[in-house]
Amino acid sequence: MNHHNTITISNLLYSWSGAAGQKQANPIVDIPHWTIDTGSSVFLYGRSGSGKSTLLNIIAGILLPQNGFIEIAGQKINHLSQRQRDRFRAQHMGVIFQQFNLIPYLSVQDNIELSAYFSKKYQREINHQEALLQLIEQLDLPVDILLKKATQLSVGQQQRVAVARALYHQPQLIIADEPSSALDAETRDQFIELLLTQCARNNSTVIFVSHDKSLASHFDQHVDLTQINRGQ
Amino acid sequence: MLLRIALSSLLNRKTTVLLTAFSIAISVSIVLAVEHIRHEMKNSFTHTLSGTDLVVGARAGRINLLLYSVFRIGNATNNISWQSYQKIARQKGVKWTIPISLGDSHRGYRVVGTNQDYFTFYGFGQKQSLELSQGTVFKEVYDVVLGAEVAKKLQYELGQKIILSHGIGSTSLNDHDDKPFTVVGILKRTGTPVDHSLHVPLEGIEAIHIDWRNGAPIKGLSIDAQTALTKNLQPKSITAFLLGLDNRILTFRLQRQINQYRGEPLQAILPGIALSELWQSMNMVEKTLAFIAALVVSAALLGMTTMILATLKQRQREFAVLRATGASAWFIVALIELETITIAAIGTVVGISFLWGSILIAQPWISEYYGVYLNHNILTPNTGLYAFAVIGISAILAIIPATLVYKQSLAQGLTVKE
Repeated sequence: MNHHNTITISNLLYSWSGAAGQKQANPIVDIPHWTIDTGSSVFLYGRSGSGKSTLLNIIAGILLPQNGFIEIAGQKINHLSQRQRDRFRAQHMGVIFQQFNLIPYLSVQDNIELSAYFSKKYQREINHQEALLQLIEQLDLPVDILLKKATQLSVGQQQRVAVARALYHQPQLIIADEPSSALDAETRDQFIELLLTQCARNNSTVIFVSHDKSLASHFDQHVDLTQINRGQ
Repeated sequence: MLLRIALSSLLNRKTTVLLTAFSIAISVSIVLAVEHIRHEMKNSFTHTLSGTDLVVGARAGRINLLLYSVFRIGNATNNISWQSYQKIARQKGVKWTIPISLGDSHRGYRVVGTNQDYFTFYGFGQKQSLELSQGTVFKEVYDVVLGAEVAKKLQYELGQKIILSHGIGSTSLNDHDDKPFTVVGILKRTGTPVDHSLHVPLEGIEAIHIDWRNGAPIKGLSIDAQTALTKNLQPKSITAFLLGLDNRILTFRLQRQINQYRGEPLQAILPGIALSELWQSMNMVEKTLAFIAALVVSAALLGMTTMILATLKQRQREFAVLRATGASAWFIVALIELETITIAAIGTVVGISFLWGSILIAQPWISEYYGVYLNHNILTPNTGLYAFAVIGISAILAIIPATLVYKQSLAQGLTVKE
């Protein structure tokens, strides 16, 4: 086990419509080797159809590769059961989508606390309210936003609330799938800086997926998915 | 948190959820109403007569005897001789008897010839006795005591003179118009066929037929009311009689004795058994009603399942977010189940309260017009069973959308197919 690496991928193979362990003719994801250092920020460039969604689902533990392994924070997650992977995702990962990150009928506070609930962090942290307020402040969000419904927020605010939820339970890994593509150019850079600052404060590794190469300059590492993935 | 998410989600879809719950409420109240009314009807029906150990009549069908002696429907095929009646009535262990003589009517209502024991021993409901609301029981030959319904419908008062007609049916050509009867008493409402009857002494029945033979007036012979009183008015036969024993253990022995009586073909029936037999024969109606009620519930529950299935598509993102945040697929299944059960539970509770309220409001009205007292206490163990079944079936039906969601969240995970 290598603790300098948050993620180690080896001989990872995934193709649709096949039982685990079977050799497949046309894999969507075929990554011989890839590692990501702990605390680093990775810009993963992937066009649509490059196997990007599949790879993210494998990292998140939702899809199981047919071959190889993926190790996150010292744990080969494809060896875990379905339930254990869900638990692992809840505790070690934060996910931010392109948009519609929030459950529309829940308040902002409930939305953020979802991650704490699923990671069972709630029970351990007594003064979670304080941590929550601090996080809201660091993300330049007004405090009264906590009681609002997700639908009352601007897209920019929604994305920042999504960051708050992804970070609230202090996970090792943040997966951000084009989180800034719904934002306009001005707020985009500001959003990415905010995200990276918070992740750095938390020492969380970030995988930032985008098809917009102009954003790459914010990140430590730049990876083109087509170069590491032999699939497709 | 699961509960909070489920409730917020339902609140977010208030209109649909309330309409769905309302349709379940209606169906639940229909099922329970059918069940409750059936139960109450049966109760009221089987309590038409109580305290009577045997009903004795000429040998015919058991149901037939019950119908004419208790429900005053149809006709007796034969009579019992006065001697046989007296012989059985004087048997050891017989506490009381009520003779019943039928065959006359007044404007469509049956006239019952009997004696004063009728007012003492006739029992209905939970061992209730007849009570007078006005006047007294009959004393003179030409006295009549009216059932509550008769008095109300015909608007008769004490002291009024009425004419009895021979035979049954409201348009009889043969009126006993030479011997009018005087209303001396009106009974309280019982919710039984007694309400629809007129009660006169056996001697009265005898008196009005004294100048009759074979169901028609004897030509050339006419005996007026006063002269008739001087004649022997002891009846030669009666239609049937009710009998009460000192000790109910003797019931079967006496029944056997009567059925084997050598003097004439008689039969004795246990009213309780005959009443439930008669009720059984109405089983079909009962079952049809229950079947229709079950269909209504099925429709409501299927409607709810359809509603939930229809919302799944637009909730894909929501489920993807929950999965990404760490929810297992089972959490989402539980969410669907909980939402469904909540809707079903709201529907059931509203349905039960609605029915309870309706019965409470309709009770005086039903009691007045149908003579049936509907108990408003519908919270029986049976109701609990029905409520439990409705919620249980909802939970089972919710497996359909839940399975879909489960498969979908395993396959799609974080991404949403547009």
